[in-house]
Amino acid sequence: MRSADMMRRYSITDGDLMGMLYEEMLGRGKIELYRGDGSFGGWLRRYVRGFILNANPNRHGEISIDGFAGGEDGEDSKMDIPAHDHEVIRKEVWDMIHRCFLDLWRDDPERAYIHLLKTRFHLSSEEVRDFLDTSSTANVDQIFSRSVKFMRSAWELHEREGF
Amino acid sequence: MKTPDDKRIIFTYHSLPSKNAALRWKARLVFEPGSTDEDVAEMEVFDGDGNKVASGILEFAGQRLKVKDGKTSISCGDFVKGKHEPSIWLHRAGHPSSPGVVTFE
Repeated sequence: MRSADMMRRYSITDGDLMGMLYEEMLGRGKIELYRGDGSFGGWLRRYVRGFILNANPNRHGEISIDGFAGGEDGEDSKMDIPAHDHEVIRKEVWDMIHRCFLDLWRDDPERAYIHLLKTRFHLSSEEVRDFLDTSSTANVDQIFSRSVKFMRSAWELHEREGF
Repeated sequence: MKTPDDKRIIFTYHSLPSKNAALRWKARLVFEPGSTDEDVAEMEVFDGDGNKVASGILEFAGQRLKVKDGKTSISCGDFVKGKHEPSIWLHRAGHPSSPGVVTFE
């Protein structure tokens, strides 16, 4: 199985992979690419397959499913991925990210550090656990998932406020 | 605590955005590969113009660190003990105290 090969190659755990996928779906908003055509389950299956085929933890943040042909799931094969997905990050977006990150820091700096160590420095959950003396890798994964969710909520809140 | 054996981790901290140049500062905290509780992480502190901060106090991770010639340090153990402490302030003579936060850089 490709995902198992990848996990061995990069020494990542199930939790790391779940964290990466969680960040992809919620943190990067890829879940919004689902347009309601066909079943959500089928779309998600195709997406996860493309994600795993293209995933490289050392390039995390640049994962793309562009060019992934998909195919066997029939009803979902017409899914259209918008081209603007790779548009250049504008200054307002960068400012917004920092604003949300400041919120995360104020809520709990440990969450902000875990977010940075996973997404900026690409540390595995074991490495983060050892670095910050967190009780377990499962706890690291849980805190990371919460940090992604927090960032997403903060983004929506600031957007509503008219950042 | 133990940092990865094959990676140097550098956290960057910035003052909060301000139009007042006197409030701006930036700091880099460097963890060498394989650092443990007893090791020391070096920190460099710069003002808004990129010059080393000659002297001051950096409140960070629950510690009051003396800054001299742009340098200070914290033990890795103290850093981890203060990982839940959100308050970061740089105090400099002749400048208003200025808060900061970790950033993506």
